[in-house]
Amino acid sequence: MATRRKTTSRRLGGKGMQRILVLSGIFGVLTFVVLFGKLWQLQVVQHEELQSKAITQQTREISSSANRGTIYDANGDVLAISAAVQNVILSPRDVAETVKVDEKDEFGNPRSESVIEAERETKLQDTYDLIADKMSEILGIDRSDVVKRLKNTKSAYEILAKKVEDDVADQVRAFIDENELEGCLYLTADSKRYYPYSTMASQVIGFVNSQNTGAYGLESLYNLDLSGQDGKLITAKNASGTEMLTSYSSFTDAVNGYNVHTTIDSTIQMYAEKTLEEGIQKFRVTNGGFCLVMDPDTAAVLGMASSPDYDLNDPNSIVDATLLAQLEKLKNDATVSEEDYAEALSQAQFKQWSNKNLNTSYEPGSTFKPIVVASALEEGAIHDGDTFVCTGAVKRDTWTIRCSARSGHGTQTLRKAVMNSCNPALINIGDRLGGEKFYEYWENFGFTSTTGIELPGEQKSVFWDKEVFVSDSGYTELATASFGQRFTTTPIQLITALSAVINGGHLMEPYVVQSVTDSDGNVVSYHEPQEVRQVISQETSDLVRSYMESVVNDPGGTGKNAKVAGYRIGGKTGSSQTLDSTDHIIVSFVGFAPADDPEVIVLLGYDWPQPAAPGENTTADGVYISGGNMAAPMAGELIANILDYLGYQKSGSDVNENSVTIPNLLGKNPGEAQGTLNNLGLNVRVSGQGAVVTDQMPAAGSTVPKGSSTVLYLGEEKPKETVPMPDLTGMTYAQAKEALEKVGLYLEATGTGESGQVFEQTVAPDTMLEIGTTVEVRFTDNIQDEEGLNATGGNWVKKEE
Amino acid sequence: MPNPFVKSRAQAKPAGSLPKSRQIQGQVDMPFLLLTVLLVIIGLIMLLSASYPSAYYDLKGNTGGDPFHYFKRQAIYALLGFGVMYLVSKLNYQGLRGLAVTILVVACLMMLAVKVPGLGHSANGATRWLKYPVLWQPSELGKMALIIYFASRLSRRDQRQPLTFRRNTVLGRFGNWLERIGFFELVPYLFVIVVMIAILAVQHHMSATIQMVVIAAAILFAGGIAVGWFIAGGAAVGAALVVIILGTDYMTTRIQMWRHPEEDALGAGMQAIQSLLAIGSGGVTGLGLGNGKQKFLYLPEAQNDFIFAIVCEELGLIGACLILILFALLIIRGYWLALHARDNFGSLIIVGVTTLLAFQVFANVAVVTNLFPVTGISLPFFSSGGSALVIQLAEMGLILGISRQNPVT
Repeated sequence: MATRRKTTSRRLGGKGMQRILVLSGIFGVLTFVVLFGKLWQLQVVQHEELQSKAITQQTREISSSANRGTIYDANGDVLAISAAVQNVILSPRDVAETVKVDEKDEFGNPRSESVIEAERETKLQDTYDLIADKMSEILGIDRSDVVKRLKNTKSAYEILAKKVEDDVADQVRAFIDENELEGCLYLTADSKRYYPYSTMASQVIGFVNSQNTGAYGLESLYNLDLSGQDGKLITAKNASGTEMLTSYSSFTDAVNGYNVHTTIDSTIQMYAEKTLEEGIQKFRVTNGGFCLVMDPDTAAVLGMASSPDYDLNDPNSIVDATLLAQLEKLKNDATVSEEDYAEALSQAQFKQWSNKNLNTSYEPGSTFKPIVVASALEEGAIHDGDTFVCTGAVKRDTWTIRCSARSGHGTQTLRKAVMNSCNPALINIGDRLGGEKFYEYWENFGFTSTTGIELPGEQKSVFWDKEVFVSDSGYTELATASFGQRFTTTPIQLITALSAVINGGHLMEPYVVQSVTDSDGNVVSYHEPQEVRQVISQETSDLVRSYMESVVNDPGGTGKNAKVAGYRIGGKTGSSQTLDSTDHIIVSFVGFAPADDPEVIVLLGYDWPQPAAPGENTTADGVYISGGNMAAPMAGELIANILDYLGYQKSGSDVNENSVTIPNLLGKNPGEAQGTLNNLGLNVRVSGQGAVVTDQMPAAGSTVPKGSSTVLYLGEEKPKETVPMPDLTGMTYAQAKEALEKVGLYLEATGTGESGQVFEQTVAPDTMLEIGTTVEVRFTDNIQDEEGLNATGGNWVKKEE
Repeated sequence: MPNPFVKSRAQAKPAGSLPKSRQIQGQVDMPFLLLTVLLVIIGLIMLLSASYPSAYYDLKGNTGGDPFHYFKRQAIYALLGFGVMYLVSKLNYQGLRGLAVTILVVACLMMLAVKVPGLGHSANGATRWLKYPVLWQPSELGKMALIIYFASRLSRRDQRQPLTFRRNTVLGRFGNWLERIGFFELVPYLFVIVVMIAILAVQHHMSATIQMVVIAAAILFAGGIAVGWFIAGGAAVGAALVVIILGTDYMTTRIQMWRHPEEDALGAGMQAIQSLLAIGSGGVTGLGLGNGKQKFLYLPEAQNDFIFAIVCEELGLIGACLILILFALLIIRGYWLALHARDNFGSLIIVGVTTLLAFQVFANVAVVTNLFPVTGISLPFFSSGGSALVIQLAEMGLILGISRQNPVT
């Protein structure tokens, strides 16, 4: 027993120990090294790849889109607003998976695979047909396209329709519910941008792309503010597709975008655009134009129009008639390839998106002269009352610079020189100021930098290098610069500098955004007027402003066509020739009112009114091509409209002295009434035999020219007859008055009155009017204020970025 | 031919009746005990994390939506297991020598009993479970029985009388040659293995079959059987595998699925793919305990065979390696205890149990990381399965019990 026990209790021999060590090495070390290697490969080498796959299957990201902020005008009218819409998404994969076929028959026996497959095929086809039919019907999309997408069963995300509105979305929703297609078809929230005024201020507001990201204008510049923060709900989903426990989801609340309140006043903007469009029609302008309306004291932009414009709700379509006609011509031209057409189309799009007020620079011409005069006055180089002699031309180097008055303006005061827009006088002033100082003021008026207006794409002025300009050899440049030619600047630059000239010398930073508010209405940021610097003194400013008022108001002023009875308007005309064609003239006018304390400053320009024939200086309608003839009357009317809108009363003192206002004579005795009218300088005819005046023509309150015929009715009825309005185009004052009186209408003349020609009639020809109606007709003088320099440099220069 | 069974029984009896007072009952091996307890606790925590979703969603219809269902059950079994481990460690393992054959026979009968209607329980197309007293796999007992029997028999190897045959016949010379290369010595072992494999084949229990073969080989190897047999055996098993893999569609597709699980990502390859996604997305540092996402119904059996994928996902490479290191330490300590056991019977039992544990860990992690095709071996101490845990702890108790008698610790 003992020996046995001893042997059974024998310990492992050396060989056994070695073998256990071997096992220990294999199972205790080697296998773990192998496992570690594999884990390393999976968790380090392949980590990212596997992780992204895992996350893809585990998460579902639902974004709740933040509402894009609204853009308002100065009065709180909506310029751009977003509304909720839906995208319709199809998941072909889920469609294919929803089709279930019993794998066992009713007795529980397995069915053959071919039978199952066939039934599955039929069922699937039925579902496809159902979806394709209904979706093409509801969404108005191509049925075959839907079928094609349905067949792509690997895809779980096919956008059937983008941005459908609520009524369509409801139909889709009903269809989904009805056919239990949840997951196969679904709607995702999106938003769509609406621009209630379509084309209004289109270049300023700008538009958004299909992702609701601002692509242009304020929409682009203020995109971050407007877009807000999309909310994100990332939920972990389990394999059966339902949400995992909430602790695994992460929420980010959507923060609605801020609202942008612009300084644009939609009424003023509308006036500006109307003025621009009317002028373009009237003067056969081919290259569009610009119109800026600004508060000169703050440099807040009240209106900013640029033509051609476009519909913000459909920014890719060409709206402008001129551009459309050009494109149509290309389209019908068989020699133009499709690529060329596409190129032309995209160029036309850029043209209509471009904001001429700051994206392009042009030669300002005579509208620049007040700045030169103001600089020289401020420097003491000239003084009020200085006289300048104009012989009609000035020689500089090889150039002969002519004045608009070929025979010369003779000796003229400084005020007269500005009124005459006299080039030789301005050259003289420029010389007195000197290149160095000229350049200093050029800088001080802000022309060497951008204005800083918060709109994208502002161009800089193109001017000579300082070294060249101030050197002795630069004196020709100095001469041309003195009357605003051979350099270019942008309308926004010019109006900002001119605002400084008339507002007491304060160069302001122009702005279009007054404030930014959050969705609850709290002000996030508010734009206080920013003064860049004081450029000239109050006195100089007052003086130049009065010169500019003379330009419009005083007899012989080149801007007198801008005159509107009852308002004190100041301004300066401009007609600049460009290098590309002698026909290519940009006519412009800068105007402001009231002249004693300007509330509004307007810069209006028309690019290239077409002459009747090459070399002619009138349009086909016989309008002489000049700023004073074209831009000035339009701007004058615009200013009057704006002042009227802003609530400025016409001041009686300035009302045309050749007109009289008819008093109320009803109930008076005939003799007394007749006497009253005769005293006013009116002819009187009496109709009837009554003892008192029972009716009168024209009605009380009408303004008619002196010498007009009036009728007093004594018991008789005023005839209710109507007459057609005659066409007064091209008539002189006398002709127009006669033509109207012939049919029994009265003339109310505005504008320059007797001396001028009919510029426009407020009532269209052939409109039926009651006899005795007063018709307002606007007269203008022919102003030949063309710039004297032929073949001078400049154009709408599009500077390279 | 002498009957080896008779012989062993005759020898085992006195060993089993050793007086208790003669036993050297020292302390259990503390490192081994602590490692075991530590792994069980970590395993419990990971089980809670991994099983929470599937219990919550009640995939198998047995949890009633109680997210703690698996955890509670496992915790109870762990406590029970510790109790069993304690008791087993108190037992004098020397008594097992005599009981080896009995245990073996009982185990075989129990393994067969799963086929008895009313006793057995089928799941996933295989019948491996007995319903009483709780659902458990008798093959676990089978493995133990095999270990104890092999250890017991091998520990008496040197007492075996070599068989001699007459040299004047070819058959006799062949018999002598067989005896010389040790064939006859192996016959009882091979017989037991074949019987086991046959029973497991009836059960459709591939993973247990592999484990049986591995532990049998390990014990025989440690017991001093000539290396040539292992080479021959390995070659035979390899050849058999090749035939089976190439010859049966079932295995061919299974191997194909192993190599390219993405080809049927929603079907047979899903488990592998989802497991890889879980491990890969864990990265070095992991998503944090409880933050795993793959357990949310993506990874089938996340609380069971694939729990280690969740460990990797939540604890990262660092956590996974720490756990593997704990396992490695436990295994190495196990072999160390085997080296220091009081007798070679104890040594061989420890070798068997430790190898079983090591192989389970390796095979499980290898499957989870797609190093091996899916076999269905659970991760000891981690995978959900109460009876398995109790049996594993009992096995640990056995090692601890042996360690008490170690002359040097």
